[in-house]
Amino acid sequence: MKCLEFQKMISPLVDGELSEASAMALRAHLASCADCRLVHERVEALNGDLRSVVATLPTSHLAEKVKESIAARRVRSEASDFLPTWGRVPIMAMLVLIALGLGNLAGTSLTDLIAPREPEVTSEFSINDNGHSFADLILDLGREEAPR
Amino acid sequence: MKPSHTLTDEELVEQARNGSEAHFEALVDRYTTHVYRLAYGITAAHQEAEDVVQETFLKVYKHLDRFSPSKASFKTWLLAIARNQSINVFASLKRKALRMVSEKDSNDDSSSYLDTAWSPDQPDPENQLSLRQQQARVHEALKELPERQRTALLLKAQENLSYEEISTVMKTSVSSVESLIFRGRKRLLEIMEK
Repeated sequence: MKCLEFQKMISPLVDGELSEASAMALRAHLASCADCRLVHERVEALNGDLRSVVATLPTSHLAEKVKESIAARRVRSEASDFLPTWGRVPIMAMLVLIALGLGNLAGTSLTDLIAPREPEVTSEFSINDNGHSFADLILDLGREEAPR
Repeated sequence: MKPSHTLTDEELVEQARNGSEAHFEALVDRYTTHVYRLAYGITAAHQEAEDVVQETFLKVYKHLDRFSPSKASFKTWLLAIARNQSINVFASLKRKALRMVSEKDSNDDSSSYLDTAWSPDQPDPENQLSLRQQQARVHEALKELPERQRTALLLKAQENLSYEEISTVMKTSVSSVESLIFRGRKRLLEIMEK
């Protein structure tokens, strides 16, 4: 077996994933081959570096933060379960008020739309609308004479 | 005594499913660092990694009934969720970076890495500086790997998962995992030798 093939076995050897027979063959080769031994040492050193990369990162506070956020989520979840019975009433009331306000701003109140009122009489003088213009009324024009 | 000290993951899950908040919190205590390590390894950003941790546990809490011990261990199931969350965040970060094309962000991230707090069990300042420089080099080299190679490597080196467990987390075959790890290591060594 060539060095290149042995070197491919170094990675699973370091990871403890090599079969016992292959591991024995590789160890025997490493004992006699300086180049492959160097590769093996470098891979081992790299593993140590990879392990130490995050060993000093600050994470002590993180578990507490996670627990707090889960507790908060639980409280919110319980609150939202409770809302259908009474908790949503204020929200609905607020939405209705907003709709009424917007309707009034637009010139027509929501109450008018729901229950239209009779137009109010603003003067005692009223003219029946028979299609004549105001001038016709003053000059008494447009009155059709009764057929004889 | 805290439940985390005596019960297995599966027992904690069972109690949590029955409504015990304390048992779910024990799972959070047990695995926050593991999820964070993976999330940070994939996103390479502290704040985003913390967000991934939060989102992952919220998802787990919400879908605890979907966990099946016969299919995978809790840790494997949890890390699979964390990986999916991290990939989403990573993709969004990449899009953002493409939009902004900001060199500053990546520089800030490297420096924040070097600014991490000292721990009492770490070596003297000189050695610590050297250690941090080495960590920064590995960190920068990791960023250059494709996400799949990086994830497979981190799951092996940091979580010590078997190739089979990694294949479950990454939804791929064992032989693919072996190949990803081999190529990832090779590439990392090449980058670090430059």
